[in-house]
Amino acid sequence: MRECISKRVAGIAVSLVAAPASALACPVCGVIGTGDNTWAYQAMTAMLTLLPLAMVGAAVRWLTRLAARERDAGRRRAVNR
Amino acid sequence: MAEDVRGTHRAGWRAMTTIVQRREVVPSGLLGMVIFVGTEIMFFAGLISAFTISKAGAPSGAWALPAGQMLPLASTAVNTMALFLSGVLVWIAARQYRARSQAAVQTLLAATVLGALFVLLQGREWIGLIGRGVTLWSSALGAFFYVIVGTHAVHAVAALIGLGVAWWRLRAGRLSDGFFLAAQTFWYFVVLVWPVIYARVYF
Repeated sequence: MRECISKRVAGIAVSLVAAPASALACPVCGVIGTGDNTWAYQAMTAMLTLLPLAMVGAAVRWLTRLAARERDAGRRRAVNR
Repeated sequence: MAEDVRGTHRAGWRAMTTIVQRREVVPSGLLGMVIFVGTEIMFFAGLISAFTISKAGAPSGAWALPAGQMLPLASTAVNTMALFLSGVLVWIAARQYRARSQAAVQTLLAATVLGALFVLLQGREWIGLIGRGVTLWSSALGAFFYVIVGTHAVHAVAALIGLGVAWWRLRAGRLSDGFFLAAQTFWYFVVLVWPVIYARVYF
């Protein structure tokens, strides 16, 4: 068991050492020019991360409010009946 | 979403049958369109993101159209006003439709015509740019311009078809609330995503 763990640790260490110094996570960063676009990459990463979360949150809130309104209307209808 | 659950038991039946009556909180067409628009927002966000990163990484002077050409800022501003006005008219038409006013037919037609005018004027600008040597392959800015603005134009045409069908059905008295809401939602998306594209790509 201990030998297995040490082999894994060694494997991870070798992978880290052999990994390239920098990996291009952004598909368009290396396409045009060599200017510093780090800020743009970080800003766009934040936007692309937060935008879907905001949209899903807004949709859930909208549907929940509509459902609550419909539930209240249903109760009122039942009371009036 | 809100549901009224009733249990009924009938003689001869093997077990109690539960009838679930579901009441529609949101028209299915509208909900489907909202989900679709969400995916489209992410699609345009991806395009704008690629544009922004590429522009920021370009060496000074390299981010330009060939032969000192400029994107038509002023004429596109006029087109943008037509698109905005179209969006406002759709909103007014929706209010008139809810009030059962016959004026909704004319308002919706005017909105559709203005939207079509936006697409036609954009097309005219494209013809001018292509004539001056700005093509998809002439520069990185040209490539991004045609891809992003062209994608928006495709969406505008699709939304205009939706508005046109809505107008036709409204005129014939066969327009459903769900269809009109879905067509409106798509058109509002086309109208509201345009200022972002205009501000990012043209300036």
